[in-house]
Amino acid sequence: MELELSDSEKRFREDVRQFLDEKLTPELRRAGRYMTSVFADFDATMQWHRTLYEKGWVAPTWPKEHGGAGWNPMERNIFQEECRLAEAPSLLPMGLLMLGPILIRYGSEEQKRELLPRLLSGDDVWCQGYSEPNAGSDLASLKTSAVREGAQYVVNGSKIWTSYAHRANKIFCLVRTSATGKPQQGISFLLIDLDSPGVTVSPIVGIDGEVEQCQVFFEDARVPVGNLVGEENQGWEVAKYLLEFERGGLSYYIPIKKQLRDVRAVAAIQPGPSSGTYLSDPHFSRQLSLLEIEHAALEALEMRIQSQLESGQNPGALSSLTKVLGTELSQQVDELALVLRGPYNAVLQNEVLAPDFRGEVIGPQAGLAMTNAYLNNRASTIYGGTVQIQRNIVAKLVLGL
Amino acid sequence: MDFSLNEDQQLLQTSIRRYLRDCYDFEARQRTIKSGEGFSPEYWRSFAELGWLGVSFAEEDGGLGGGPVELMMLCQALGEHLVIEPVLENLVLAGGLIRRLGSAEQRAHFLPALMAGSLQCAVAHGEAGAGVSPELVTTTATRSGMNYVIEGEKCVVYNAPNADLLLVTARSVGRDAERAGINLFAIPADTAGIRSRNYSTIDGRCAAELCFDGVTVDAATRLGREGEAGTAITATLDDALLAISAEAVGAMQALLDTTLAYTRERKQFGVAISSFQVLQHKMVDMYMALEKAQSLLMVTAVKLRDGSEDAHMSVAALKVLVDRAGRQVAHDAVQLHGGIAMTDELPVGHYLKRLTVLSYLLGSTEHHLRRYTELQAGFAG
Repeated sequence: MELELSDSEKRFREDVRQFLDEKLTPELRRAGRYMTSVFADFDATMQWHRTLYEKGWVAPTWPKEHGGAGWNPMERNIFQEECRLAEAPSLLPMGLLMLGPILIRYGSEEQKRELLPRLLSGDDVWCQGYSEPNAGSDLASLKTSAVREGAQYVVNGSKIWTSYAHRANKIFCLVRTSATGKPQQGISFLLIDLDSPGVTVSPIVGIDGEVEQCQVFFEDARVPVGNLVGEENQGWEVAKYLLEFERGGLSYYIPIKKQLRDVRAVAAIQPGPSSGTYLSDPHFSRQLSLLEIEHAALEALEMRIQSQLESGQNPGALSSLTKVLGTELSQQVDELALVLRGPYNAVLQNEVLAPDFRGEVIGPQAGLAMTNAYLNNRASTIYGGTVQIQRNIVAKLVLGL
Repeated sequence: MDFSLNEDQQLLQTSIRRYLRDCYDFEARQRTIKSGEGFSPEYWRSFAELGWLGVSFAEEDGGLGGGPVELMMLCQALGEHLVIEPVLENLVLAGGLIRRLGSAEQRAHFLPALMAGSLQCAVAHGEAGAGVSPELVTTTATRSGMNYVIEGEKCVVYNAPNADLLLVTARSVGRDAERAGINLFAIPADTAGIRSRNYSTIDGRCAAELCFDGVTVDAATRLGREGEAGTAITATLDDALLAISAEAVGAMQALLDTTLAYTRERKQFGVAISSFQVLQHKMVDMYMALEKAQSLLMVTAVKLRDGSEDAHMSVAALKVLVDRAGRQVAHDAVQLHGGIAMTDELPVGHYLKRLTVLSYLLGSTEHHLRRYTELQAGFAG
């Protein structure tokens, strides 16, 4: 059993740190620091995307022959951790982590040739069209239809919770191409231009006052048949492939590590009860310690998964736990962070978080954005499979119930 | 990054598990408890023969040369099978102190018998304030010519009723929980002046309250230099905390397994109760608690093995996590078993009792949480 990084891993980490020192501008760091979501300010994100693209590091999880960095799981993990701790803004995952691997696995040669380079460079910005107003947890019941007419599909319906559709130029969708048989068996994976006639993007304001999510409407939108990925009615399998691929993707412990450091740092300066700081208050620091201990356990679990991936095993069962554990813990850390803001939890100040803000902050500067993050992060136990659905999956597939 | 066991470790683990699975019987355990013996001499002999009592000792002392990882594997298996035999008291606590503090002669005097299973030990260290402060030593050892006179009280000394040898901590200088000034004495349990009140514990073992009323002991019974046992005691307690955390994780595993099996069998309203979503989610939560604890246990064992800077902090964190997770799993197991879990005849209640005891052994959860907080402040700062 071995926990220490190998010499080559240590050298890799040094290289990453050096790169971040050089290329993470103060503006980019600010955007990363004030992330209130899994997403950062869009323009900062795309600037960072291009910086990484120039380095060849924008797609760590892709194979080298398609423009990926060719890193092993440990290197990808080190990179992710160093970026997060250095406050690099996160990249949009829809293209890089979802569509890219899908195209590599299921795309036609023409699709790969046409789309992968533009995805890598950031010239195309993709969003994901899966959920519908009536198809959330029961995604397979989706109804957005794609009817074949000659060399086109005619698409009708609506997708909701499409993150960043208002800034994207393309969307990948699960659409219904057959209504016979089991619902999963009539779904196809289709790429659609958001500029197409009949496609309308409607931004949704979230409880944190930001626009991140959208609803997308399709009214007789015509899509070339060449935009089908994989076979017709193979869409569910294509989407499920991602679940396998995501194992060994982003670790949950990493953003929480940053979250906890931020809470600790703010608590160390914020006046607390009994004329000390919050950190010197035994009640606060006890709660912080408990969360740090839970975090240590999550990190250990994710390291175990990492270890199994590296030795070629399928961690299967263990990885299905991390979304539940990670998102629930993250929300608990959010709750503790609110303590530091006190009555200023009543003030969001979204404008302060923008890169070009030049005004005065209401209340303490320390812990700015913690309330925003708390409101935004409330979604994390809901998206990507609610924690209730995740528990159903673990019960069935892991415990055999 | 590698969490896999090497070949020797896998062999050791397999053989321990196989023996316990095939030979350690819950009914036999219950009979031993009812007899009041405290442990079964037959099982103890087998453990000795299998080499388990030598796991942590150096090869030149006749042991297997194992470290925290091997100890973790052994204790996790013991916990899974509700083993009451005093492996913790002999191998980990007494053995840990003797191997760290004993001279070559002292190690040669005690360890072979301990490993052969013919020497029963008890470590008389914890005092009345042990829950709040497991390092508290107010028992005194006053030098008197070639002897020391020991004065004080030791509480909940596990295995004392069966012990041949007592390892007693007493201070010659200093006070309370100060590390400096503490001595370790290895004295026969029947030394004149020791009064003991024996009793059974809820987790199927035996312990005693020991009163040292001006007990005179030869200075030669001291292990290590005068007043300098503190560091070895802390290190031994860290090993013991790892051991009991491993035991707790084993218990959690057994509880999850038995709960899954029971709910699949038990029918109410015409169906197996395992089909009810609320119970399924409870079992998933038990499973998650188990895997978190298992993961942090493995990481802590490696940190102790490697002497990492944050090993102590990891031990404190582990104890907190396992205390809480262990009780959650135990209570959920009782709840999902329903009424029969409240009877003495089902293992579930016995796991609950052992896990409850463990969460207060060698310092309460709150103590370790405070310890973690202090260490973290020193580390981050």
